[in-house]
Amino acid sequence: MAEITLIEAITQALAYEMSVDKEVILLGEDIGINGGVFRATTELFKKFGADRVLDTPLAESMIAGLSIGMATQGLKPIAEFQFMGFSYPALDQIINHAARFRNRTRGRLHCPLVFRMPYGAGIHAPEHHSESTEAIYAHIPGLRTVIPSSPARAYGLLLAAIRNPDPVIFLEPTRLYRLNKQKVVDMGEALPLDQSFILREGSDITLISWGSMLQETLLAADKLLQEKKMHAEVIDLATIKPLDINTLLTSVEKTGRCVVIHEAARFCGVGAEIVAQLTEKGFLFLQAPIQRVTGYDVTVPYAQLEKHYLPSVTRIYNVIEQTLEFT
Amino acid sequence: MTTFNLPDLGEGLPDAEIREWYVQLNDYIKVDEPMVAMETAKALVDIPAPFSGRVTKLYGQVGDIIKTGEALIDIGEGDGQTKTADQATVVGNLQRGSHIIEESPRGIQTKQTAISHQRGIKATPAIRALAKKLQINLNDCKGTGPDGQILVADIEKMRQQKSIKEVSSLTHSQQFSIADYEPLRGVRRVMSNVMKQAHQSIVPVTLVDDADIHAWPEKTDITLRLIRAVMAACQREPRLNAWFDESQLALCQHSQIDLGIAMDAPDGLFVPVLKNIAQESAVNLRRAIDKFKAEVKNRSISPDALLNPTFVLSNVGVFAGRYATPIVIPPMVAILAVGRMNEKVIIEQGKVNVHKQLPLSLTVDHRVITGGEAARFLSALIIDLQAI
Repeated sequence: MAEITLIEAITQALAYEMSVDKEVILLGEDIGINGGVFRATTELFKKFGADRVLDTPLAESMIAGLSIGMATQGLKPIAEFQFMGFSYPALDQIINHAARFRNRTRGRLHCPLVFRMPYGAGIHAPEHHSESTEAIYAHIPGLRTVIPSSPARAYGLLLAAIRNPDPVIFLEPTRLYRLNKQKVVDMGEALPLDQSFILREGSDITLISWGSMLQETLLAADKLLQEKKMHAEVIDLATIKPLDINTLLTSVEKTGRCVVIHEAARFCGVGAEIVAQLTEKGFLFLQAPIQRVTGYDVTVPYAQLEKHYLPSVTRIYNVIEQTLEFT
Repeated sequence: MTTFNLPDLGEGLPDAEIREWYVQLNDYIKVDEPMVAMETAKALVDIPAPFSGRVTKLYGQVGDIIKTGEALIDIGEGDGQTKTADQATVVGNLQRGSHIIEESPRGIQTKQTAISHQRGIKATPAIRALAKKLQINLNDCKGTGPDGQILVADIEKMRQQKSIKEVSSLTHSQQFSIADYEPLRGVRRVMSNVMKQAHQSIVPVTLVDDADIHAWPEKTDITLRLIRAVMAACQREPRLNAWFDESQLALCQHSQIDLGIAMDAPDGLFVPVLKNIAQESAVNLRRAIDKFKAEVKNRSISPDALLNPTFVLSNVGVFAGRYATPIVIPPMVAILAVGRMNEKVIIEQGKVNVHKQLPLSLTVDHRVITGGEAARFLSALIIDLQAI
């Protein structure tokens, strides 16, 4: 069992499910011969052929519509958008149709499909290539939104997303695609699609994050241990929606203090929903206001400003300190 | 030797400009190390070495435009010379790390035995703030609210226990116990509450002066003279004979004077009221005062007699004390205290004489009475007292 990167884990999960389930179809721009923008589907075209790995025209709305048609008629399409920022032309199809088919037809039709979208900043890409707008999708009833943070979770969550009978927005943090490696058991075992994962146990403060921001969050937790001998409980949200509020609440009831870290813009970000729910349900346990460390309310800048936009270890650590010092 | 061609750095970008070479001819470069910075229409992109080897040729200098798909650099001598030059992305620059993640896909299972930082304390932020203000540790509180929630009452209970403890620890060193404390009862209890309320609401200002009573005949009834003087002063400044409703910010000026006479008794302070003093003869007033004195002494005074004075006179000087800062009792707005009579050397037309003086202390509630009103009241009082 080799150690593989997150992008390799995605390829592996796709290959596994395509080989066991003939209904699984891939489609997207340049995913066939070229293997996709990030090479997630390299070799899959050769292995499964043009009937199951479809190169599409440059038309996201069409890709989404095509997927919905396939899904309602018994296939399990997995559509790749090159970047999350290019998924917006497909919002009409996703929000008005994919998310509603089950409800609209009173359960007669449903949409077992996955929209894969590379997302997030930190790879020095141009405009539109660094979006982290998971809150848009999380807001829509009828959609699940999932973000893996490690190769093993990418593998397990993607399998779960494909097997889920309803549409799943599967966001892949581009910064993590080749950053770390991990041993991944390629036995087709899926992870739960409604659960958050505790990466570090601690009783002094709860840190909640997802995607590539977990890198900085874990480093901030390390720094806290080194400098103050205090233990942070670090939680990978993993599934943005449905929110696993129980795991978060159990931790915050224990620690009484919490910081939410995300790279998305602050206003109406997923962090706001988490803080609201924790405050509603864990009000009596809070020892300090729950804080957020987030991107700024601006279009994600590129080139040199990108690193200032993304929450740094220092920014996260400072807010952790403030939260711990609050009495 | 392998020629590395410029890959598409955007989506279908035709070319890119060399901004900076990080390597020079004959340098040995390792795989993934940045070798050149290329500027496209979209961004500045570092291109990493596709494999390790020695640089044998650069196909351009800084500022040159290289077309997509054309030669950029020759690398030789390295291993894996036939590797493709795929960067694994057509946009941006993916950082490749060597870090191996050692964790379960499902994270960790927290130990249920972990000691909670909170010890299960349930309290609203307002309760936490209150506890902090009163220096009460929530760990010591027993929550009596739903599901063990700590309530204001629980904090209050802790505070009382704490203050009893503090008092007992204080008195213990003096060899007293809590049993040595006697609770206040009756009139003393009322006095405690009334005075506290007065202290909390009144804004007092006290004026002191002396009345020269040298001209008084022998055996003048001081109290009756004082009553007469209060009537004269109230005529001059009727606003001091009034009640103030602080909730409405309204003043009720009285046409008749119901004068309270402060009387000291073993059981505490009594203030029986002489109703409408302007209508009573001196004889009747004296009789009424004597009756009150006797009733206060044997505690037979009727509660009705203690109700609703509009002004209070307190003669403290019977024992000692020249001046005082008497406390105005709400809703009244003024009080007069009379100190111990004394003698003063007066120079009168070049001669030294000794005159009797009556010290006066007037307190008014400055929320409704001005300093001028108080001074004019006191002045009128003195003029009346000094008249024969």
